[in-house]
Amino acid sequence: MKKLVFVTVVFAAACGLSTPNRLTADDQSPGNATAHRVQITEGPQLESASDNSAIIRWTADRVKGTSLRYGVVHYGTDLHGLSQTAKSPNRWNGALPAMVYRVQINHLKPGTTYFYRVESVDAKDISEGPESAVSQFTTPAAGERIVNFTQPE
Amino acid sequence: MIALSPTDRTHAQQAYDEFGQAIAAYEIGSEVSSFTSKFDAFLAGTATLTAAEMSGYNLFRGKANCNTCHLDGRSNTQAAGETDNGMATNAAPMFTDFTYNNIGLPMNLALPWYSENHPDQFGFTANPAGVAFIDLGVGLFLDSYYGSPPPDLDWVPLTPFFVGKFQTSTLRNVGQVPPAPPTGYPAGVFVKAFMHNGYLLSLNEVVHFYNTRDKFAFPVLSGHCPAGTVEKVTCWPMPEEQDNKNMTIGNLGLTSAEENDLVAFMETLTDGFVPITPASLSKPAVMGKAALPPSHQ
Repeated sequence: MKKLVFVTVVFAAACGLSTPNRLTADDQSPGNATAHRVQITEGPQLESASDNSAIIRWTADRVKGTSLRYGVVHYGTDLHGLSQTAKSPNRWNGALPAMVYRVQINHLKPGTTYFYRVESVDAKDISEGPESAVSQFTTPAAGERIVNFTQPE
Repeated sequence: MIALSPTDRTHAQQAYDEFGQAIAAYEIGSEVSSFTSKFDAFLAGTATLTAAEMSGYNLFRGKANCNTCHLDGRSNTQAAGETDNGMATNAAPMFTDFTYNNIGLPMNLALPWYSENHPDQFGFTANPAGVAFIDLGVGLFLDSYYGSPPPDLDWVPLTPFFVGKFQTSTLRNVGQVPPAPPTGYPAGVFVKAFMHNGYLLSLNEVVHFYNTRDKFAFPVLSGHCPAGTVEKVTCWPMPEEQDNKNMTIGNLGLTSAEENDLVAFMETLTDGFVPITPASLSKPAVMGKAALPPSHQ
């Protein structure tokens, strides 16, 4: 059971944290029979944001292979021009069936709405799954902070 | 800081290099790495972990994701028909994967290094940048250091991939504390420091940092946490280096009790639970010279 704990919310009501998350049709395509594809099972969603940074998180399964992977977030202020990329290293715990990807985005502007989609790549920078649908978040005003955390029970 | 002539400083640097090599040679010996901890005894079936230690072990290889870098030798659950390409081992686990990571540790401004930005009597300035100095870890090594040449020009392009990264330490003996008097220290006198810059001063602080680094992140330097917060409790100053920051950690959702259980587990990794004997010093086999290929002996 998961419970959403809103630890700290600053101007959250005005932020439009995210849109419903959907997988692209690419997730259902057979693709390369030999290529391994992870599947996004939760998120992506905004975990937290300051006036100049944000953390996006999502959960994927069907993970296997190397321990080191990278979460990748393509983002921008133009829905049709996600021209910027943030990439963070994440480690897969081979003892667990799924893994959480978290990516930190820096150098954002306060009070600004950003659109984004996510994917993950392996240690060799090869895409290992579908890109998510486009979601959005809005950074808080200068000096403010949003914490949006899903606490497992 | 000790004032030294350029010649003496060169000699001192050579001596420090040799210190490091000597310490490494000692650490690889069986006197240090005796593999006689309670956890080793547990793996051998001759000891039982307490409820807190067992809970910590399960968190270590589960929710807390510690074993993604601090390999416990037990982490592979590939499905039937899949190939095991992990780091499975039949020897005592080392609790490190020997890789390099940026865990987003804040600067430790208590280090004298940051105030050594003035020339000594010989005109040598140890840290011209003062508090602006950023320890880039392996990146600093690859890209040269205060005017010294890079160790290998071919490595310089790799620098962006290594800035902020330091080697994953083994957790064996991480909870070891010095003996009490008369041979050791009175309680409270010896302060153990953790991480490359000694910012964290207890295993509890270490686990709390991994658990809440991003939850209590503030864009401040150490000593400047906002009113109403407590540094290392409800405020973590900003990372010394953001690039390459490992995001496996930072918001693990551990309770205080779970943090304590993880500490209890790590304290089982201290050698000496099983009396050290000549037989115990022979383990693990893979550490012995004979286990290495001829080219490495």
